[in-house]
Order: sequence, then C-alpha cells, then structure tokens
Amino acid sequence: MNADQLKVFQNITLAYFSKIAAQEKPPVLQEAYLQFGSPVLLDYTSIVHISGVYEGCLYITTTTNVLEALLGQHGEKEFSDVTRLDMCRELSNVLAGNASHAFGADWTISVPQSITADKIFTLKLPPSTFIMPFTWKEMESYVVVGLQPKEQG
Amino acid sequence: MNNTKVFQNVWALQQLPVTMKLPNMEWRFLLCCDGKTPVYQIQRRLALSDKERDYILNRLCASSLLSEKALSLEELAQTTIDTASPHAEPQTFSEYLQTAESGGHPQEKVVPSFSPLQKPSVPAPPTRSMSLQAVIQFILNQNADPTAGHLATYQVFMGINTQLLKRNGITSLRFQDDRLITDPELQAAIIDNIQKVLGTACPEDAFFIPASFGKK
Repeated sequence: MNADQLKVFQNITLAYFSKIAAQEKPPVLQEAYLQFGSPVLLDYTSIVHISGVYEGCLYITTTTNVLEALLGQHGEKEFSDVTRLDMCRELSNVLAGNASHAFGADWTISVPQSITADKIFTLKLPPSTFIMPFTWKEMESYVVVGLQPKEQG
Repeated sequence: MNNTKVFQNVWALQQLPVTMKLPNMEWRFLLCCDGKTPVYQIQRRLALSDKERDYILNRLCASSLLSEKALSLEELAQTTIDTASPHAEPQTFSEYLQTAESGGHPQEKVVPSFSPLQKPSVPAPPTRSMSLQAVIQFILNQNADPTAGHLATYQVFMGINTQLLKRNGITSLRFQDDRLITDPELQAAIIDNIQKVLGTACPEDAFFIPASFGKK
C-alpha cells in the first residue's frame, strides 16, 4: 500500500458522501492517527479484508445517526434495524468497489461484510490500525486501515 | 495530592532533545522544580488550579522529566519565577527562552534570571532515553509526501507488539505526540522496525542520556 493508493481510496470514499448529499457540506478528513490494541468501532461497520505484502482489512465504521442521514438522502423515511443494515450494506459495497479501484492491482480484496455493534466480537482485526477520522454533517465516522505482517497472521 | 511534595528534574536541560515540545506552563513548572521548592509554592507562583497542577505534574512525571524528592520543609527555598499564560502554544525549550527574552505577553514579567538546574541528586537511569517525537519526525522526513510519512510511521509501529507499547503507556499515537521512551525493549523494537521499514538506522539525535550518566 502506498500513499497514492491510500489517497485515491480516501478521496473516492469521501466523494461518495459528497455525491449522495451534494447540497450538504462535503465530508472533511481529520488528522490521521495510529491506534494500538483497541480498534475504533462504532454502531455499524463495513469491512473488506485485504491481502498482499501485508494482510488485514479496510473498514468504515459509523454511527446510527450517519446511516439514518444517508437513508434520508436516499428518500427513505423509515429508520429501523433493517433499513440501517441495508444502508450499511450499501456502504460495504461502495467500500469494496473503492478498495478494488485503489488497491486491486496489488492486493486481493475480499467480499464485503456489514457488521452491527453486537456482532463486532466476530471480527478478527489487526492489533495496530491507521485511523482516518472524517466528519460529515458534523458527525464523525472513521475510515480505518488495519494491516499486519503476514507471518503474524 | 500532598502539596508539600518536592520534585526535581531527572535530566539536565541541555540533555533534553531539542525537538521536545511542552506547553509554556509545563516548561515553567519544570524549571521551578529545583529539588527544593514544594509543589504548593510552585502552584501559587504559576497561579495554577489544583486540577492544572495535578495535570502538569502527572504529564511531567509520566514523561520521566520529573521525579519526587524527599526534602524537609526547612530546606525549601523561594525562587522568583514569573507567571505566564497557561494557554500558550507548546514550545521547544529554545522557543520558550526566546519568548522569555522578547518579553512574551506585554503584561507579563520575564524570568528574571535563568540558571541551569542543579544536577539531579538521585541516581539517573543507566539507559539513554529516546524522544518519540524525534523518531516520528525522522520517519516523516524520509518521505516528501505527508501521507507517505504517516504510512511509513504506521508500518514501523505495526511491527511492534501492542502489549509492549501499552506497557509504556502508548495506546494511540498522533504524529505530533512526544514522550520519552526509557524502556530498552521498546527502544530496540523501534530501532529494529525503522531498519526493516526504512532500510536505515535510527538517528543518534533521537537519543539522549541523563546528565549524570557517564560523568566521572
């Protein structure tokens, strides 16, 4: 994974939020940081696993409020576990497409998964993660890269 | 906390990494800790609340910059350290001195005279310390692109056991963070991973040794 690939991935992922709500302020990427041992996970997580020189995952983790705002932009009036999970699945598909676009040349990308907070324990995540927070409509979500050397896997 | 406690600098100031940054008030607190003055006097001089005092003390002790010294109250001496805005931006020691020389805030007094702190009377750790910020800056400087620098920093630290990082109080890392790493095992892991990821050695100026160490 190189910086150009990561920037492409960041840009097209944030562009999804800009396009879906063109009338709103675009999402703003915050300063990245590293997290050790306790990956940041919010209410809903869209994730793909990746394998290349390293192995690990890419995920977007976000809150119920963000998903409901996205549903609202789609004209959805009903907010329920079902519709929120549907929205999370759409985000997962976007994530998988973006990951393939940005990293597909060098990395194997898995089919996406959509995980709710109560199923987070099923995720096997690398211990060290690269966190890229972003705010959209004043709500914070995170794009996360989690990698580890293959011999540790 | 017990306000009559006395703290002293673990390191001589000239041995601190030049890249190390502290907020203005933490530099002032550090300079006030001369191994004689009790905390309550420093707190009063710097016009700190109890919460601010505890916060600063905790940070300086956690960074291995200060250590507690047992001292009778009779030995306490009053020094003349000015007050300062507690909300100023973090500065290097060099910047701090420049601010003081140029007058800082117009209404503030400047430290009347600064003399190096006395040599610590407690035995200093027999290992050199590593400045985390110097290490991060070294990695970032290897890359013209900031994102590439961030990724390289991630690559260096992803190869380090998270339990080892946690044992040293590092659960997350922002790229402007600084702290002194004294654990030889963590230092070795960082050196090893810099070599693996960047193909170059960790620079010597990321390290410093206590002033009393190695002197005859």
